[in-house]
Amino acid sequence: MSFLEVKHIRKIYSGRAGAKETTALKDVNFSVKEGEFISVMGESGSGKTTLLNLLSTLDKPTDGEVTLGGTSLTSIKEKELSKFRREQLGFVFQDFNLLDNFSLKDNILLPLVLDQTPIAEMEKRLQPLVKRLGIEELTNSYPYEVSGGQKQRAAVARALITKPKLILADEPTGALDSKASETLMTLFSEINKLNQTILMVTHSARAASYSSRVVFIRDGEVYHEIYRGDQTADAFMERISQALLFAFNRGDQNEA
Amino acid sequence: MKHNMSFKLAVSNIKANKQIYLPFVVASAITVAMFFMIVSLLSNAFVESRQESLVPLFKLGSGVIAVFSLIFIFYANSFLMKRRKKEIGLYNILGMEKRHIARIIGTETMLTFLVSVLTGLLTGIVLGQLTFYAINFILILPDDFVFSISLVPVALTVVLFMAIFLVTYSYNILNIQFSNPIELLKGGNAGEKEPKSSPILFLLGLMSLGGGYGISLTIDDPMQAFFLFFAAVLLVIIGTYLLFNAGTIIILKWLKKKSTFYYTPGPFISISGMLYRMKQHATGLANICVLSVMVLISVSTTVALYSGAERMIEAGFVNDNSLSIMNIDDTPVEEFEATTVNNIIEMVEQRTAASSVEMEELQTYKQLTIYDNQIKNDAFIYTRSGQVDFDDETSMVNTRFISLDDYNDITGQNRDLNSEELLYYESLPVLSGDTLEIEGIDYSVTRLDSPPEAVDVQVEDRSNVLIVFSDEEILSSTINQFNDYEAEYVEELYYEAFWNTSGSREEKLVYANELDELFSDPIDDAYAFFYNKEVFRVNYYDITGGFLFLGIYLGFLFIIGTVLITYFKQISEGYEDRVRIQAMQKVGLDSEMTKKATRSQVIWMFVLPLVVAIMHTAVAYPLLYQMLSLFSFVTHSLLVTTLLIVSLVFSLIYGIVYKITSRIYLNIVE
Repeated sequence: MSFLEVKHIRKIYSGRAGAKETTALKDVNFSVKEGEFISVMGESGSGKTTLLNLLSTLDKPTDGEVTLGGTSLTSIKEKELSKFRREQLGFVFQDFNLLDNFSLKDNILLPLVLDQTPIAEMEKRLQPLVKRLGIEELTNSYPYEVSGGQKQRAAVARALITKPKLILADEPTGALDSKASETLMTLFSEINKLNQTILMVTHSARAASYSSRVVFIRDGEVYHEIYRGDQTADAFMERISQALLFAFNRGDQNEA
Repeated sequence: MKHNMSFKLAVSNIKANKQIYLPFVVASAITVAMFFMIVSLLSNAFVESRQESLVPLFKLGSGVIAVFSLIFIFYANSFLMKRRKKEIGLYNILGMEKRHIARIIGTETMLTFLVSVLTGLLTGIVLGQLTFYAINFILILPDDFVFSISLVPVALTVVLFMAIFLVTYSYNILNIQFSNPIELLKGGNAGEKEPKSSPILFLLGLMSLGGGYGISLTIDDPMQAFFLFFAAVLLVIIGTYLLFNAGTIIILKWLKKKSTFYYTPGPFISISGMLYRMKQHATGLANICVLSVMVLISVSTTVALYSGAERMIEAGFVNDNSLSIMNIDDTPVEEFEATTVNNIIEMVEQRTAASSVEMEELQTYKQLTIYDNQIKNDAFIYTRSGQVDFDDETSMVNTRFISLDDYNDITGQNRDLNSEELLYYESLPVLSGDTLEIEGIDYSVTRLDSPPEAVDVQVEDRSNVLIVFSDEEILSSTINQFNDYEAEYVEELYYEAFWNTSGSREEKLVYANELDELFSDPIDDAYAFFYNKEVFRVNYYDITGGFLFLGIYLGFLFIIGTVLITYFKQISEGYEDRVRIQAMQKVGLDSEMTKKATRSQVIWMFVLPLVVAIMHTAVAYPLLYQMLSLFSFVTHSLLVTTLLIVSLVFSLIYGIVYKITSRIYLNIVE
C-alpha cells in the first residue's frame, strides 16, 4: 500500500438550487510513495486546485477516498481537521500567506505555537531549519521587509517545522522571478532527498523538472504521467514540455 | 473628464463600497446631530432668558464636541481610505490622472458630506425635541421650555462639518499624491510597521494624568474646584490619549518578550494582533474611555443633583402648604391670637373651599426659632447674650421652642410636664446630662426619639434642638428674658399653620398663586408668609434646572458617542483582522481557537477603557463633591451611591453594546 493514495475520486460542485452542476474531478486515481516528489500539471480549469483542496482536507470528495499513511482523510472528524492539517501536512502557497503582524520567526513558529509545543523544542527545530533555508539573518524581520524569495523560504520553513508527512505546494514559484524560483526548487529537491514527500501543483515545466514524477490532469482526469528516472533536469524538462504539447495537440484533435 | 462622469463614478463607487460607506455616513450623521444639538442650546430661548450663566458652559461643551467630531471623522476616514486604496490604485493604473481621481474623491466627499449633514440635522432636530420633552416630563419646567430651531446653529454645524470634511479630503488627496499606483494597489494589505514604543510620550502621559489627578485629590474649596475642573479634565484627557498610545505598546512589547507566555496559542494571536494595529486601536480605546468618563460624570452628578434637590424639598416641606404669621404691631398675644390669627385661618379655609383643591386637616402651633445659640456644659446660651463662643462650632445649635399644649395637639399625644420639666430633642449630641439650664433655671430633661415632623428644623451640618416647655407662660417669660439682652432686638413668636391639599401639581400651583396674592400685603396687624412645596420646587429648578438639563443632555450625547465609536471600531477592526485570521486558518488554526483568541482580544479591548474610565471617575470624586456642594446640598453617601449605581448601569449598557458589536465583529472575521 502506498503512502498517499488517491482512489477514484470525483468531485461535483452543485450550485444554488436549479443551477447546473459542475464536475471538477471526474475520476482521479494515482498513488504516491513515501519520499517521492511529485508534480501535478494541468491547465487552468483542469481540476488541479480542486485536487489540492481535497488533499489538504479543505474540501471533501463527492466519491472516492484519499488515504495518507493508511488514514482515510474523509474519516477524520470535522473537529480534528485543523489539528490534522497542522500536524500531518505542510503548506506552501503561491502568495506565501505570511502574516504581516508576525516576524518571520513567529510566522515559522505559528503551527508549533498552535500545537502548544514547549519553547525549547521550538527553538531546537527553528535554528537548523532557518540555517538550511538561508534566512537565519532575517528571523526578526517582518514579511514586508524581505523579498519574495525570502518570504517563500520562510513559508517553506513554516511548512517544514511541524515535520509533516506530506508537503503540499500550490504554485510555489508563481510569484517569484527565475532566480528565486531556481533557489526554491533546488531547496525542494534537497528537502526531498531527506525523504520528505512533496506534492506540488504547478504550471511551470521548469519547476516540475525538479520532481521525480509528473502527473498530468485534464478535464478532471489523469491522462498521462512520466517518471524522471535517471534523466538530468534539463532532459526531463524537455519531456515534460513535449508531453504538454502533445496534450495540447490531442486536445485539438479531439475537438476537431 | 466631464463632471457628469465623475459624478456617476462617485455614485457607483459609493454604492459598490456601501459596506464601508454606510457605517461611515451613519457615524458622521450622528456626530453632526450631536454637535447640532449642543450648539442649538446656545441660541435657545429658554437657556438665554433663564440660564445665561450656563452659556459659557454650553460653549465649552460645543468646543469639546467639535474637537471630538474632528478626531472621530478623521479616524473613520482613515479606515475608509485604507480600504479603498486598491481601487484608487487601479484607476491610476488604468490611466486616470491623479487630478481626475481627486475630482472623483472630491465628489464622493461632497456626497457623503451632504447626506451626513442633512440626515444629521434632521436626526438632531428630532432627538433634540425628544430630549426636551423627556426632560420637561421629569422636571416640569416653565412653558417656554422648547427646543427651537434657528438659523445660527444650523449654519454653525454646516460650516464646522464642511471644514472637517475639507480637512479629510485634503488629507486623502495629499496621501494619494505622494504615493505611486503600485503602493496604492497594495495599500489595503500593505504591511504596517510595528509601532515603536515611546518612553517620552509615556512619561508625558503619566505627568499629565498625574497633574489632573493631583488637582482633584488636593482640592478642598468649591470655588477653586469649579475653576480648576476644566484644567483637570483637559490634563486627564491628554494623559489618557498619551498613555493609551504609548502605554499599551510598552506593555504589549513587554508581554511579547516573555516568551513562555507569548508562545502559547491565545496570547500569540491576540498580542501580535493588538500590537500590529495599536496606533488605531489606542485612539479608538482612548475615545471610548474619555466618552465613558464623560457619561459617568455627567449622569451621576445630574442624578445626585436631582435627588439632592428632591431631598431638600421633601425635608423643607413636610406639608404642601404652610403659613407663618407674625405679629407686627405688638398686639398682646391673646388678642392677636383670638382675632388676627383666627381671621387669617378663616380666609385660608374660605379660599380653599372656593378653589379646585380640597384641604386636608389644618393644624396650628406657636413657635420661636433662634439660630446660632450654644449648648455648653448643659446650659443654653442665647445667641445675643454675648456669651456665645462662636469658634466652638460643635456646640452651636439652632433651637425651636414650643409649648406642651401645641406639642400634644400636633402629635396627638397626651403628655404631662411640671413647670421644671421639658421635652428635648437634638439631631446631634450636644447635651450630656439630664438637666438643661435656660436663663438661670434648671429644667430636668425628657429626651424625645424624634421631633414631630411638622416642627422639625432641618439644617444638616449642626445640631437642631427642639425644646418643649410645660406651658405658654414659661415660653413667654423665657422670650422676655432673651429680649432683655439687646434693647433693639425683639424675638417674636410665630403662629404656624400647615395643611395638605388634594389635586395635581398644576392645580396645586394655581392654588398656591391665589394664596400668594392674598398674603402679599400685611393683613390687619400681621404679616403672613405663605410657603408652598410646588412653588418652591418650580423656583428651585428654575435656578438649578439648567445644570440638571445640561447633565442629562450631555449624558445622552456622550452615550450616543460611546455606542457609535464602539460600533465603528468593531466593524473597522473586523475587516482588518479578517485577512489575518483567514490566513492563519489555512495553516491549521481551528475555528474554536479563532474564537478563543479573538474573544480574549475583544474582552481586553472591552474591559480596558471601562476600567480606566471608572478609575478616572473615582479619582474625580473629590472635585465633583466640591463642585456640587456649590449649588446643592449633596452628601457623601448620596454621591457615592449614585456613582456606584450609574457606573453599574453604564457598564451593563456598554456591555450589551459591546456584546452586539463583537458579534458583528466575529461574523465579519469568520
